[in-house]
Amino acid sequence: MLVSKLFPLTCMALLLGVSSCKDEVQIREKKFTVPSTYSFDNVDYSGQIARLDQLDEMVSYIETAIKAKDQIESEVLMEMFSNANENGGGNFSFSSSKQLSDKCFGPHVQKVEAYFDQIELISTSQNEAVNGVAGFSENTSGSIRLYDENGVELSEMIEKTIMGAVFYYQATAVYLDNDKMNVDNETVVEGQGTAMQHHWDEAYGYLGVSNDFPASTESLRFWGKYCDRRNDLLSSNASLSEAFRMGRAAIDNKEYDLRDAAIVEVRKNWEKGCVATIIHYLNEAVDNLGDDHTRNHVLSEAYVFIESLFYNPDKIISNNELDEVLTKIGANFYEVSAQDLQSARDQLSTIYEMDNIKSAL
Amino acid sequence: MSIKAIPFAIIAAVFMQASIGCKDNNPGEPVGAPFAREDMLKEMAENVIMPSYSKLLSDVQQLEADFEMFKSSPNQQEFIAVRTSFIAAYVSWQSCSPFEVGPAAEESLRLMLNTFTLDTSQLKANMESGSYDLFSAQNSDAKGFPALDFLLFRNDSLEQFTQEKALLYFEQNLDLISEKLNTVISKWNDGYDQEFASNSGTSVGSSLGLMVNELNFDFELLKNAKVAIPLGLKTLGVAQPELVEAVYSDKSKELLLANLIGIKNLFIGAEGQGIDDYLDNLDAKYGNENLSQAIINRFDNCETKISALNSSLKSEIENNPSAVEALHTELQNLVVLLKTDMPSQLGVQITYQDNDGD
Repeated sequence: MLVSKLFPLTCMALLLGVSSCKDEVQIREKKFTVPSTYSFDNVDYSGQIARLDQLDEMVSYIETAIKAKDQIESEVLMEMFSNANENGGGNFSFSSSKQLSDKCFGPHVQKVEAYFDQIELISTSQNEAVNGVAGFSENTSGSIRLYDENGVELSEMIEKTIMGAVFYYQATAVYLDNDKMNVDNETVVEGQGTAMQHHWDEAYGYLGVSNDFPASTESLRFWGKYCDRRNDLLSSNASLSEAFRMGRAAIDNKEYDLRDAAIVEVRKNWEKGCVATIIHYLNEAVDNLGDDHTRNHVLSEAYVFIESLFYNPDKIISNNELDEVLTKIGANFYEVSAQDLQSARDQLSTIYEMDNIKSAL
Repeated sequence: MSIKAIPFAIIAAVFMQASIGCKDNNPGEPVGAPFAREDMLKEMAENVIMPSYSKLLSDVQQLEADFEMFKSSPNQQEFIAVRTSFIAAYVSWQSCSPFEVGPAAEESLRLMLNTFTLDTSQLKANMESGSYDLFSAQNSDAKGFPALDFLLFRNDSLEQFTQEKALLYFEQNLDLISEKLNTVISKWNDGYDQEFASNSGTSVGSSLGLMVNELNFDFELLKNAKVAIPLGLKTLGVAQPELVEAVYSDKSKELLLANLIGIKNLFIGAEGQGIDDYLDNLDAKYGNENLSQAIINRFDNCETKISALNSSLKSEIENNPSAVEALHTELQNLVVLLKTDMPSQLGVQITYQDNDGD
């Protein structure tokens, strides 16, 4: 219901967005229909599914080890990240020619690999995690987490940095950028569509939702999951899905102005979902300020999602502002103050015009 | 926004081809003086392609001779001689890089000789194990000129270079370069020269078609791999200066210039007939001037920008990025003419696609 109510509005907004660049406002007749789910011909994003599966199994390897307080091996994570021998060095339950590492934002590959070494190192200690000491933290309900000496949860840094530097980066900055959009849209490859359609679908594949989204919110993964969690306040499912469907339909109908408008919408709405997630975690951190176990976890989430904002080529926040927000949180999660966290949150909500919902997120 | 404009340009190009095709069965043929494409191709082979290969071959032979000298007397002086002749050969390669047609395409010469960025951990693992196949996929970025560059110019290179494993790896890569090059030259001499000249149409697979495609492909490699990527233009502005070509010898600027001049030389056909003459014959215009002259002017603008850089492209990216950005802008100005205007005037289709897989 929400979808059908929003759809004409968004559509109008897209059209006006295009027209407003010109001197006179032209009301263009919509020449094609946008389906309510991603039900287009020749959609194939199996390569993206493979990478989502790979990250799933990496996360599962790390979490299983942490639960058992076992050592995590950097080498295993490296093999999975680079998909050694096409089966992650035997650590994946499946084979694929796809890799995470070769699609990772180049300058940050080393950062991810350094996390692998670091998590191995701290997983060997059987210390209890306290300020200044890396180790395991266990709360009364039996949740076990692994923090470094500053309270940073490396499992979160690994998972979310890959979500940012591979999935979000590839979708918004690579597949929807000129090099991948300025390609053939005539020759249909059976099962994959034209080169342009395929690139668009690959971007969609990184969102981690099914083709039935948003009608169905079953089996959401990674970004899809976080998008759905903010849906109540943002209607993020409808807006992001709508932008993707509008773009694919525009490509199918060779309406490149509308495709370009959809690119703007995808980038904008994906970013909004990310920011709302950050604000949510910062609120959680303030609410749990005295609880090291929980606060360190939610702050790790907030921190790495803030870092992820960087990968969107149309990001609203500037690099300086990004640094300012991170600096407000600081490098030691044991030593944060409610004021600083609120200040970080408020800076974001101001930049993204979310002041009205910042407390509710 | 170029993303909007370019699809229209492509469509326009298709229409132009179609309309030329309708009114005349012989698309490129000018109204006035006849132009023998076969002669142009013959001259391009004689004046540009073969001399470039010969120069590279003699430079590689010099490198081999200097390397032999070094092996018999491994000292600083001989080491410097090897380094010097390596740079000369690497520079000569740059003018061969654009014509990856016929034998060079069959031998994947560009991929074999100059795939960078070098995978140093793969290279070190190879050297250490002593058991590797330079032709295997995993070694595609652990060989050729970039591997030699590393072995000759890494830290403590003389000391490390004298070790047996390093010498062996160097020699096997040098052999690879020499073998591939000799094969390509033999194939040209054993009949491909005839085939090249006589395949004188403009359709997909014609010599001109292949040449225009490869010229563009090489130019885009220059623009993207050698400039845009290290400058950070593909990574949201985060510079990656360590990704420049020849990062160990720090000769990337010299190589870049040689590459650009090589591509230009192919376009103008050196002293003989080239693509520029053919464009003139077709009366191809860009605004009020000849398209050929517009292209040459933009080549010259690029050359000026490269020459204005200080000797290290890497340090310019680190310390003076605006100068490299200015170069990139000129490269972009040229690519439009090379990839859109030139092919459409020639009736040649650009068929290659950048595709790095799913």
